[in-house]
Amino acid sequence: MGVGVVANLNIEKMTVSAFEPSNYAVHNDNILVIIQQFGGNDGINTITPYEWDLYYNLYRPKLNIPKSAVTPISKGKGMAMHPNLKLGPRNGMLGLFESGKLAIMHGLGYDNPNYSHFRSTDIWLSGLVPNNDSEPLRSGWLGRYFDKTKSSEKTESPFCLQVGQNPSLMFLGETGEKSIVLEDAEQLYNQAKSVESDKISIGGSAYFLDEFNYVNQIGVEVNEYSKVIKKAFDNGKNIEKYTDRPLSNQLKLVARLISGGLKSKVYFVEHNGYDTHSNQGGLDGVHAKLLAELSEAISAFQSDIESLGHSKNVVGLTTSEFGRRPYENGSMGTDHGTSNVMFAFGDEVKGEIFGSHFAFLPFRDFQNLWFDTDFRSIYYEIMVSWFGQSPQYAEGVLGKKFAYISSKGFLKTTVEDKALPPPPEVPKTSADINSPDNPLNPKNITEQDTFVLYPNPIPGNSAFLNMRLYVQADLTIIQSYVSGQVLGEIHRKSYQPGVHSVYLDLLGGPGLYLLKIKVGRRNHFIKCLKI
Amino acid sequence: MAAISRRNFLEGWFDPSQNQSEVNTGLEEYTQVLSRLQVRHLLRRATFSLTNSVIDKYVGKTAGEIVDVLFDNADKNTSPIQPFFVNDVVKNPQNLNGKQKEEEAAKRALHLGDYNKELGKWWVILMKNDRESILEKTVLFWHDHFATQFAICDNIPAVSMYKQNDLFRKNYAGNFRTLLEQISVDGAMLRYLNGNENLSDSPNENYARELMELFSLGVGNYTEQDVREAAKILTGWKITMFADEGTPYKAFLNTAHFDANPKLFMGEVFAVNYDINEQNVFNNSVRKLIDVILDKKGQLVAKFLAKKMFEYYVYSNPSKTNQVVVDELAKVLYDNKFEIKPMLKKLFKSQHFFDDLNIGIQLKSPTETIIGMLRHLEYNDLYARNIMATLGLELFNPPNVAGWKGYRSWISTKTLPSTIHFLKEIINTNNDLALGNWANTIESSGDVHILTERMLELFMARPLSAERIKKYENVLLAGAPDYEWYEIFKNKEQAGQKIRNLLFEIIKAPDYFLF
Repeated sequence: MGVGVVANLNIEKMTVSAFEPSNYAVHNDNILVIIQQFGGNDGINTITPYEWDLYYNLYRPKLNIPKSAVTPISKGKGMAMHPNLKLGPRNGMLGLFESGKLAIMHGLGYDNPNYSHFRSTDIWLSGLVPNNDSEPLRSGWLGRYFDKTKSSEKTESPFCLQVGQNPSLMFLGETGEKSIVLEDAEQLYNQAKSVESDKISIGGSAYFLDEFNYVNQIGVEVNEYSKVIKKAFDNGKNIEKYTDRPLSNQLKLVARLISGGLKSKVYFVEHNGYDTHSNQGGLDGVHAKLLAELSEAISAFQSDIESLGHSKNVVGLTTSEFGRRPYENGSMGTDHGTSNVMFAFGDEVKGEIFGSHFAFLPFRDFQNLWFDTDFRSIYYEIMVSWFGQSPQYAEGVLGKKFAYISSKGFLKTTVEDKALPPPPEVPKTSADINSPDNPLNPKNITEQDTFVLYPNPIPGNSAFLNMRLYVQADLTIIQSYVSGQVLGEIHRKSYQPGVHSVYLDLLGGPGLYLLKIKVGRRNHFIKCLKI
Repeated sequence: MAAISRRNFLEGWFDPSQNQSEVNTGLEEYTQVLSRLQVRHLLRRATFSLTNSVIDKYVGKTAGEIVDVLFDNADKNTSPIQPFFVNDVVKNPQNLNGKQKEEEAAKRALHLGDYNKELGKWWVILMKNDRESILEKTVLFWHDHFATQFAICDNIPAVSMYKQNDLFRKNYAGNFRTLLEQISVDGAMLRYLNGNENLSDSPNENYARELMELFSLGVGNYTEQDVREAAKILTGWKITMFADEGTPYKAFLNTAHFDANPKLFMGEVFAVNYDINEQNVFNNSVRKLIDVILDKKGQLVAKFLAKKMFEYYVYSNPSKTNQVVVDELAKVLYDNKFEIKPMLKKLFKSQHFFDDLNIGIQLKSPTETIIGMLRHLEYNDLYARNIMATLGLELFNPPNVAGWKGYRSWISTKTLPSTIHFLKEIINTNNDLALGNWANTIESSGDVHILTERMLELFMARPLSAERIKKYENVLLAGAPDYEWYEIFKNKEQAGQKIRNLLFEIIKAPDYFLF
């Protein structure tokens, strides 16, 4: 499969080419199903921190799931599920959790988070965290995973199967596409009969040949694999009833192909619409509807796979490019954030909650959260524990090794590995309001808040004060001479946490002054020179 | 072997750059007269229109002459006939009762649904009739660049989408500054990226972010603070889609929602020391915002746009972008104060553009395949719009704000078989007689060698080997000796059947999908 020449692949300054194709072996029949939640799922309203007053009072005064409506899943951890996650066969995803088949994994993210959907999606799909924004991400982690096969060796089934329209970066290897994209198996089969199915050898210039061979190869593959897929589709069946919604229909097709004997290792489906900047809703509304579809689809699929007798070999995973910010915005929605919660489901996952609620990880800046598990930990564990590859192989795909989530991992098959590197460091924090390690401790507030005056020295009377506030506060600014004699109050307003640019009209003539910034009960001072 | 020598005569050369692997030519003008292949290359990249007679007409002229014609023709046609529903207005059903309410609700549903499809059909017709002009190809570039989807939660009405398209058409090669200013207060864009929900009390950053990330600077060239301040600068703009609630489809300023505090954007103070009215706010906030971006980071903007246009018109493989050429293009754009036409003309007349290595290497989007076929064969224009949508390019409805992914995503295991399937449907809508008559419009079609070559010239990326030409010729002849074609062709119905078979073979070829 794939065209082109295998180049040395440079991942994060590490050259990965040391893998002999013979290292590759399909050790087992295990299958991975990935559900991509495009747009950035609001994890905080998916798994609700219902025991935390801050959630109701500070983060989500309007957009919350009321305490009266939540479905608690852990009293100790103060977590509940969105009520719509009960929907679907056998109580939906809640039912899966109660029967120990749903892993709820908190705090996934990566360093230097990117807030662009497209860039952040590419980072998740590529499994590479770039050093800067312009570094191109040209291949996906599963593409590279399957690169390591002999290119001449034809597999019986396509490595990956993607239900949808466009090929995902996830399956793009250095040696070409590793997936077949389809929406309808019979249609694919019928239409694929008329593609050019022979490899055509022609001469010509470099770029032209690259593209010619690419199209030619697509034709050859689709012709061949459409027959395999059709056969699996005809031999396969569904037992469970699915809702007639796009995500359910996609997973229904996946279950049928698996039951029909297709040997693809990875299946990929998409669920769109999670970019809830406005009118996100709480119990009802856009987000609630998406979660209902998700729960119905996943629970129907799991039940189907169990009835079909494949549940020992199938594990599912949800991914989304980022979480959303803890603080709701003013349009009844939430904006692009950082770390998030992720689900894994199946007979072979550890049906537990991993970590504390991510909403209470420390803030990495004034509005975005830290993360405590690198998302590639999940990929690493899949490769080693689920696909049965060596740690070296997985390291070759990702450029390094990653700690298992909560060090034990989310799969039953995972064996703890003391040699793995430690998880990402999270700044020390404490939930105790009186502890100096709690950024919300009133004593700490102004110590982390920052204030920068621009310009300084100040020509004329006007200047900007750039503030970074960590909690909501009443703010007063008093201008005085350096001697301490007060000129007057120049600003008073209540502020939400975040970055603010405050326009100030200063008093008095040229000279040196002191601005006393009173935030809550703390004072902060800035010297300024008027010229 | 006759075919090869004739082609050599026509082309003058045959793949001289076979062993070359990088394009070394720059933006210096290509002054030689163009060969047949070069004319095909220029017309395919700049227009949707290619016929043998147009190639005949331009062969032997210079790029300079032809490119000027392509722009002149575009300039003449920027006000085409409007869609039939453009002057139709809708009242807000919620302000009405009884029968009136029902009627307006029904009308509104048309504007949100069917008329958006009619709008796509309107554009299909313009594309297929856009002859020897760079207009529609470039309007599609802008639609992709300032991507706006009509199908959002509460669809955007077709008239609003039309007005945005008209903005692109009127400014197709105008000034990028104007485009950035106007798109910031475009009705459809205000709806799509929540600009109309960007209020002084609660700024919505959606548009401000994409303005910098996707429309002007590129990711990494601005800060989060820039996003927040730009959002404040752009507060207060609204749009109504209803005739009883103001002037429909035209952006206006709601002064109460405009943030009157001073803002600090890229180190520049935006003081509100003027009367807050629409004109003042447009000049001192919207315009100034664009000015600051272009003044402070103009070279980055020029590079960003030049790269995108290079990928659209020359080669969309991002790892093969010729950075030297892109930088030169960016300089032309920057030196011309963001006038786009000088940069595009420079590109299309350049040695780089005509470098043999750059010929026949773009992957066809659904627009290229479908419009390219509609140029020759009869088909329902609305269905054509629907086919393009099924293949992943729905006009007025790109997949997201980043536009279409392009490049190899156009040809996947999903789209390759279905593209062939739909092309067959288009071909089969034309009966044998129609196909025979179409072939008869091709000069010297009574000679099977010439007809084969001319059909291949219309659809294939580059000249073919003698062996492959022979293979296609044999499809027409179906076992008959070549001199008999003249007799076969006298019966147009009989010939049409053979033409159909040849078209079926052509649309399977990998190089049919390249241009």
